[in-house]
Amino acid sequence: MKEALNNAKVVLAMKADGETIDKIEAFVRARGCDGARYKIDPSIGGGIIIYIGDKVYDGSVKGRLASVKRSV
Amino acid sequence: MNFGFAVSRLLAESGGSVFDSLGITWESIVLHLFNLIVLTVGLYFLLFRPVKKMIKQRQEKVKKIEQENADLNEEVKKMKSSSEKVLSEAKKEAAAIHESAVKVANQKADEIVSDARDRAKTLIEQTQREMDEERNKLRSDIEKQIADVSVAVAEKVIEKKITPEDNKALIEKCLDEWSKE
Repeated sequence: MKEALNNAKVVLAMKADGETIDKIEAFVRARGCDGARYKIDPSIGGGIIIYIGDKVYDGSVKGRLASVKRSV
Repeated sequence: MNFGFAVSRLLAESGGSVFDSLGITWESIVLHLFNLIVLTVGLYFLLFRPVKKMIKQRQEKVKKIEQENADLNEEVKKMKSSSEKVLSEAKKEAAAIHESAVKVANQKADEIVSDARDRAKTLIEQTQREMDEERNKLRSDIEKQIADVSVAVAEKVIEKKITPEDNKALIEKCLDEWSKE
């Protein structure tokens, strides 16, 4: 249970290469996580979504377009 | 044959005075004078005085009637003046009432027109406000629909055109931005 809380959830639109994975791992570890669980979801269009506890980092194309849509 | 010729002939035949020839004596003259005096006095008392008295009474009566006529004329004049004054006052009062009625009617008409204008103005403003709201809502809906369509189109385009390299660059850019926060 504790392990699950310390793991970040990472959603990608397509598989990423090792270099990108390393950068993602470094990012989540810098925020107190032990590692990350990855999920491929093409519906996000592209980019990345990271869930760390209650915090959500949305860098997906779908999220950004939604943000643009809200601002309009 | 005339009277003068007859008198001269009578005088010539009698050979006396004229009175004698005519048969006139002094007693008859006195008697005639007395008769004349008695007749004159009688006429004076029996005819002249009553007639004079009657004329005087008639004159007084006429004078009285004239005075009454004058009084009546004066009274008629006063009544006429009074009636003219009353008529003039009635006319003035009628004019004042008419003027007042016209003033009240005009005031009422002005109030009605002003009220109607206010109502029309309020109605126009309300309609304008509702039209503006409706227009803004419609514009907002259209903009939202345009945004929806634009975003949907953008999603489809990006989904089709994004490459692994683009995806990697996007991820790294996001990580950099988040790291700076």
